[in-house]
Amino acid sequence: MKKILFFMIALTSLIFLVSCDDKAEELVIYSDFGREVAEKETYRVNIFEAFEKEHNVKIRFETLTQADETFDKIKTEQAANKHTTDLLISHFGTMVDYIDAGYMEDLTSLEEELNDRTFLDTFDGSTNKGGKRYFFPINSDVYLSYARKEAFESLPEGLTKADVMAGNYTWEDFINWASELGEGSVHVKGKGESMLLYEIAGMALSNGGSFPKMNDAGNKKAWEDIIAMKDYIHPESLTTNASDGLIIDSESGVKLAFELMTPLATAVNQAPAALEIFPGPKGTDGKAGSIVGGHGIGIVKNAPNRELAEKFIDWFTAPEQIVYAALGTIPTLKEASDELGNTPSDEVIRQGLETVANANVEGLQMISDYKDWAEVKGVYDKILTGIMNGTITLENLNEKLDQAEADLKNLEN
Amino acid sequence: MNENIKQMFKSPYLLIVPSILFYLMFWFFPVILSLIQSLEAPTGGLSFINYKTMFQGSDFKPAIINTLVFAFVSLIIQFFIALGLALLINTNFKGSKLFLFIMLIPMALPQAAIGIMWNLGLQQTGWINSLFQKIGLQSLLETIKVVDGRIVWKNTSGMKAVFLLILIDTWTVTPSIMIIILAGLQNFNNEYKEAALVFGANKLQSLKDIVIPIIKPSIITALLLRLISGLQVWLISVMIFGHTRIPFLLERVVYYAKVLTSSHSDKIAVSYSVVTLFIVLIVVLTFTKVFKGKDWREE
Amino acid sequence: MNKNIVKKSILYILISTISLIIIIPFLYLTTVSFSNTLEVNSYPKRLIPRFRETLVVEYNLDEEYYSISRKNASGSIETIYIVYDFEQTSKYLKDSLNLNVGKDKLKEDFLVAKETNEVIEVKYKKTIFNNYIKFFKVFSGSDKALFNSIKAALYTILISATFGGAIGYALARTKIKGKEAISMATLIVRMFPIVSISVPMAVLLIKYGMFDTMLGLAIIYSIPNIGLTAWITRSIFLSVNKELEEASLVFGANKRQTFIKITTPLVLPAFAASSMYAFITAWNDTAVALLLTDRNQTLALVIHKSMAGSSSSMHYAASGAILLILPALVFTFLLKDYINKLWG
Repeated sequence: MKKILFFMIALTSLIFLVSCDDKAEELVIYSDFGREVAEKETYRVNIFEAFEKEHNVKIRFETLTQADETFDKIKTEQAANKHTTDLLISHFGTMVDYIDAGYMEDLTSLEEELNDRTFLDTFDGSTNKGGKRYFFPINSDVYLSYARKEAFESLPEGLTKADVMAGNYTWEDFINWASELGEGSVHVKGKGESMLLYEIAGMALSNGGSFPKMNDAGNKKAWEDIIAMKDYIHPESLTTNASDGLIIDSESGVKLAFELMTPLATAVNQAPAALEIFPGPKGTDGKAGSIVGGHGIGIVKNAPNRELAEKFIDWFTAPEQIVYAALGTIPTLKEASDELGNTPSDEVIRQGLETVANANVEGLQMISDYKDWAEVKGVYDKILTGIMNGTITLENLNEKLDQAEADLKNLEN
Repeated sequence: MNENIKQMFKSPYLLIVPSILFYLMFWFFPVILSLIQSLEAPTGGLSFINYKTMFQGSDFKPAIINTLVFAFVSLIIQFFIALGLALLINTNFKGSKLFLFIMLIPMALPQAAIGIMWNLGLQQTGWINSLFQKIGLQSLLETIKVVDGRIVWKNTSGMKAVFLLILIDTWTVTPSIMIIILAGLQNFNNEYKEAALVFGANKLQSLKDIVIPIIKPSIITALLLRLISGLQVWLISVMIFGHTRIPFLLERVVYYAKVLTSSHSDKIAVSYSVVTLFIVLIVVLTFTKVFKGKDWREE
Repeated sequence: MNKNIVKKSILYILISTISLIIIIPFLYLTTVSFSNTLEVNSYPKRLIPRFRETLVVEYNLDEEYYSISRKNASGSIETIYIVYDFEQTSKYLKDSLNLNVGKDKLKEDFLVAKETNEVIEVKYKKTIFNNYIKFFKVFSGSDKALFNSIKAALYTILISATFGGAIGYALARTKIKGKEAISMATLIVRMFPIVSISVPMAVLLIKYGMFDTMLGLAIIYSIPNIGLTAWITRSIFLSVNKELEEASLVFGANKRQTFIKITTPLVLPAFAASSMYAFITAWNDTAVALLLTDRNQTLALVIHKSMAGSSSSMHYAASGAILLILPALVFTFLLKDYINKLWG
């Protein structure tokens, strides 16, 4: 009996061995943005479905787990001359790899056609090269802060909720608040090879420091603040790069974090009434600080559906769609941010825009100046690991930072 | 002429040749390419500089130690558990078929599923701690002051982390060793065992002197395959601890090949691959030399 | 007699404990696949899924809105949502709690809190397969991917069994020279990390025109599996009792009949075991499929891609993982009889 069953399965599958391939018209997008299921759903329902209907095409939206997997995919395609991908959505930091390798089409003429809209030019250093445009920016995100509502019951002496909500508080206040909240109440984006350097950069920028740099005054202060917060940093900070899962879990202990807009928006969507959002703390420079990141969309060289891809970019970056495309972060279109409402998610975007306008911000255009950005991340990771395991303290901090700065210099091109 | 061709088709070498061609095309060629790549200096020409950089890296020694400890310790633990389970199932007690099916479940799970499963478990708010809490183990551990609050599994480092990985790996991998031994046991003629009992050997003796030598080829196969896989551990460590914190040989290969993107790091990746190959080769050769002589069948 | 009962109970206690050790993690994974977002990010985690959600609704007279609270896993009640607009609320409940309630029904049910000015509890049934449905909706092509995975797995089993079985037999039964070298060679192939040569290997296959085919994938999958099959079948062929075969010859069967009736059933468990390995390799692989497929993806690849989410949305990945596991479990179930075949 089992034998017959086996045989049936084999036979049925054999039939499929000769099955035909899907030859319907397909627009293929590879993206480093929109990896979450909910985000893909947003794209599908609000952007893709209408376009598919109008142009009688199927959109295949693919995301991989890491940016270098996407790069490998495009590289293999280009090397073997098997062009299937039409569009690429890349983080600003990785655009230079694609542009330098010659994998992207020049979209300067398309830009001239899209004259009904104004793209923010903050990211031209990443999206453009040699006067030509290769990517259109879609979103930008910055660092804000958020806390669980009950955390406001433990504010330190002299700090009021109004102060915090208006952004009139400093890193000292932040640390004091953390100490009132107790051990493990703050999340730091400490996962290796991930986003730590951006968080530290935000802290350093608020102190007037630069990025990437290890031993100027602003950065030194940032690391000193980390040491001061050491006991209040949640232990799983070293293995997670986002606080959203932890902060919506009242049992995790995490109540406060300086966080990137994307996971912050995710958390706010999941439990809006449990959280409060406010600007990041001010540093010694009298302002908040943040790295500004984001993504852009471009057309891959020798894309099979060039014309359709251009039409798609037109649709995707139009004011109505780009708000959805930005997935809760700042849409990089002047026209889009003119239309914000009152929901918690709109509040997040509003705070983001204010931060971009008023804080010390820095983009990621310097990534191409370094031999290997992952190694740069590693330099920062080493310092955090040292602090968390006690081998780096206020005594030897300066020495370690000088060493790290030397490592950093070695990584420059 | 016809005779010769007929002879050729009857030749047992026909069994081997297709595979040889297959491997030449799809394995040997890329491997040679990689080997050459590992000897390329950044400034052109051949040199050992990539190997030098690799040996001098601070991650090299930990990677080797972690890999060897993992491979051998997990092998020993898993072998005895697998052997015990195989023998147990072989007695065909009531419900052994169901038990076999349950034991095979971990083997069927894809790597990604295992990653999700254990990540969900090892979080501080994960199901392992939830389970401890439910069965009272959490309060017990707190009372005897072994732990202070929920265990933060992901913060383990060094050898402790390697042993945690060995435990998880045992959960996943023991069934695959077990089925090889079990397949060998199926051919074990019970008459041999009965014969030994008739002639006075007790159960344990019959096990040691009769059963094990007969299923030795299966055991050697299972151990060898497991050793080779064990020396190439990486994915489970990366899924739980990420890169670099707990280095393993193959984890370094993936790190230098995929996480770091310069062509310089690609070469280090290949150097690590070559080192892994040599280590595995040496271990395997030693293993077979040691056990080869005792294969009673070959006489 | 007593000793027997004690022995038997110890046996069954042992069996049950081991079974639990295997099943419990798997059960938790299944439960996560049925959980909603807030459950996934709470402590302690549940072993068995919950089928309904209880919302605690209160009307705030001053601010004139409803607030929705919920009892979380550790027992405390936490306010999670303020109702500004019922349509948005319905969407929120669907996304975060897997509850499918229309905005009119919500309005109706919540009205009680406003009118009586009391805190009320409203129970709703969860759409328990919500995560799975979302997964299929978002990852179109997962059904095709399923067929592709089966295809690739079958090809792999075929290639590995024929090439590998042939080598195994040759090593065990024939008098060819260089047996040691061949055994060593089949092992060596398993030793070199495929990962580091995956890119040159991929470009090679593309040049042979096997890009985006299940056959191309199967070829790569077979590389380690041919050696594996050879080793496993070799050790089985070696241990098949020569005397049995000789006995059957004495009793009048010819060489072919002997092979089919006697040797083959004995060797079947070995082929079963190696097919299992071949199937698992093909079914579970992601890295190779990633580089060598485009439109014709395997299910493992589709699910791997879905796992690129943050830790707060592991439940979707979990449902994808369960989908990937089920066929493998079925295959295992069918195969186990061959592994444990009664002889005699």
